Amino acid sequence: MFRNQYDTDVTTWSPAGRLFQVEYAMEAVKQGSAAVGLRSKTHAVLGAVNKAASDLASHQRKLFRADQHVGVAIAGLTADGRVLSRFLRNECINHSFVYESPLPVSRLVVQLADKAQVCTQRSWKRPFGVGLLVAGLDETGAHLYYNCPSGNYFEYQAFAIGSRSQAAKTFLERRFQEYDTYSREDLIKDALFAIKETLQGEKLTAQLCTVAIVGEGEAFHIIDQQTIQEYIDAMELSTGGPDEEADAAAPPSAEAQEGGEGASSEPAPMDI
Amino acid sequence: MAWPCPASSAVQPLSSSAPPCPSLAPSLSSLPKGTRSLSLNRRSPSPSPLPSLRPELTTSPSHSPHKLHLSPPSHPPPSPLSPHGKPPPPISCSLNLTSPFLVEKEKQSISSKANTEKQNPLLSSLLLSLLSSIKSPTMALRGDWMYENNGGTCVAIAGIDYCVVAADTRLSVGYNILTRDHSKICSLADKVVLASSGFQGDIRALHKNLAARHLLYQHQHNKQMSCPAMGQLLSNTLYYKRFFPYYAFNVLGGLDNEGKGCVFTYDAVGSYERVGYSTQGSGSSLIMPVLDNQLKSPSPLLLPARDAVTPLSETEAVDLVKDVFASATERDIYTGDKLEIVVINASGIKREYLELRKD
Repeated sequence: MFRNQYDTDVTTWSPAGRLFQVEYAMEAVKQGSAAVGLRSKTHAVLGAVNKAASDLASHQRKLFRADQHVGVAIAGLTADGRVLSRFLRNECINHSFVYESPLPVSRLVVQLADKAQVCTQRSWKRPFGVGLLVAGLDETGAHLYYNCPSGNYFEYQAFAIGSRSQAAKTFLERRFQEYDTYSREDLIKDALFAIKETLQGEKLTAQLCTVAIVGEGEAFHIIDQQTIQEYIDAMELSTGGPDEEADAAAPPSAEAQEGGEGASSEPAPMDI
Repeated sequence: MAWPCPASSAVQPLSSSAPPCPSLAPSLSSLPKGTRSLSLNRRSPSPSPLPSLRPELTTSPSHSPHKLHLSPPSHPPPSPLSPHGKPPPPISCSLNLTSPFLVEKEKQSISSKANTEKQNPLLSSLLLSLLSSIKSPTMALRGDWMYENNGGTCVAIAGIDYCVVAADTRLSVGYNILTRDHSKICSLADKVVLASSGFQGDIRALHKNLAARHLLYQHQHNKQMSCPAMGQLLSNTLYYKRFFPYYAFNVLGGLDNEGKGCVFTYDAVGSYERVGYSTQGSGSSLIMPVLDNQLKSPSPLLLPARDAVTPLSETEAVDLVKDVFASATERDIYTGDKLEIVVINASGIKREYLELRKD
């Protein structure tokens, strides 16, 4: 889109009935590194690409736990995402304090959406520049939602956001019909595959991605690097890559494990 | 330093087979540190003159406190120490009109209640609610007394690499029992356990508050709270309500950052101190002297006060806890029914239950 005279304020409509500042905020989401989410009836998986600003820097955290039964993946302005995750955590704690039960995911995303909407209707604010994939489990099963900076939210069977997410979406569109009955392991494999699609040629290693899962009997948690690497190796064997690729996969994956465990044991303090 | 105590020989045994209990121990300084010399129950062989004081735990006079000689309570000789000459009445007998704990007034109401019950169930339930609301005369007449003491006792003992936290499970109000099965212990973190006695409403709110704050802490710091950190948090939480306090008397137990046992004891408004052992609640005045006798470090004059974790082993500490509760149950009407013992050590949190006297 191009600059025009209606895009200075979020409180200015364009003649076509658009709020350009909000749409620019959605553009910011597309600039962030990719995040994918998919769900079955009983489990929901979130995945994110660990893109570091430079080789010297550590990657930013994209997966946050909001409660035992809910987690989010963010894409866009990480700072906005952190603030919103803190809001989500507070809402979950408040709800379980008052009602002694976990906050249903659908209510959580509504509260999040309402918070985002406020910023689209105040002249002294700006919209949040982050899209959130909210994955959670409640009494009605596993859910995956996408929250926009606009204050909209949509429920999805599978979705991807961020840069080069279209490739992942194409892959998911081909497969999503069967996801309801997928097992936990197949969901994780498909999430990894979707992440691989966004890398477009770059080799997928456990160091490059983060995957989290929530499901029946399983609180929201980030899956450790070693397990992810095992999934990746299993994937590569099953897709029957050529022998050179399989050989090349063995030493880099071992290195990736050692490097990965050192780098991602704790999030850097300023990430929170 | 010598603990003042009567010479053991001054207390005559009532019968050849049943030396009385308790007989105070000889001076602590004459014994190696850590030896448990008080034999509340220890030196009484079967049959114990106090059959309800855990008759399954009777040891030989030799010092082997760990061994359990399981012996059924046979008919004991009468002794001035036991309130009845027989085992405690069964639990099903609830309307015990001859119970000495019943106030004269209530006895009459209950007998009249028994008569009117068949005729007017509504009236009897009104009487019952009246009974349960009887407090001390000055406060009962106010319509705005916001607290209620639900009784109960809590104990915590810190060891070298473990911590024992125990509380009874009786909930009472006035002279009534509300339930025999209410836990006063809250497991706040994987190395922190809180036991509180007092007003159950405030206790529950306090525990919820702390649990929510702990969740927030975990989100922010990506780890569980340590016991000293939780200790400070509890103190601040209590003082926050300095002018409308939580009617909760707390004992916090757990492992500190080095893995040593630590116990913090509190008053109702947050004054706290790290100690080696503590007790709070209705039976605390009965239990604390016993713990002092057994666990107090021989040099309390040493300043600054060093942490006095007991050198007792975990099983010995648990046995001590069971003993003190059995004794407190005898004399404190608000303590009894069941004892919940929680042990925290490096391998996690373990729970154990023990039946206590139900009267």
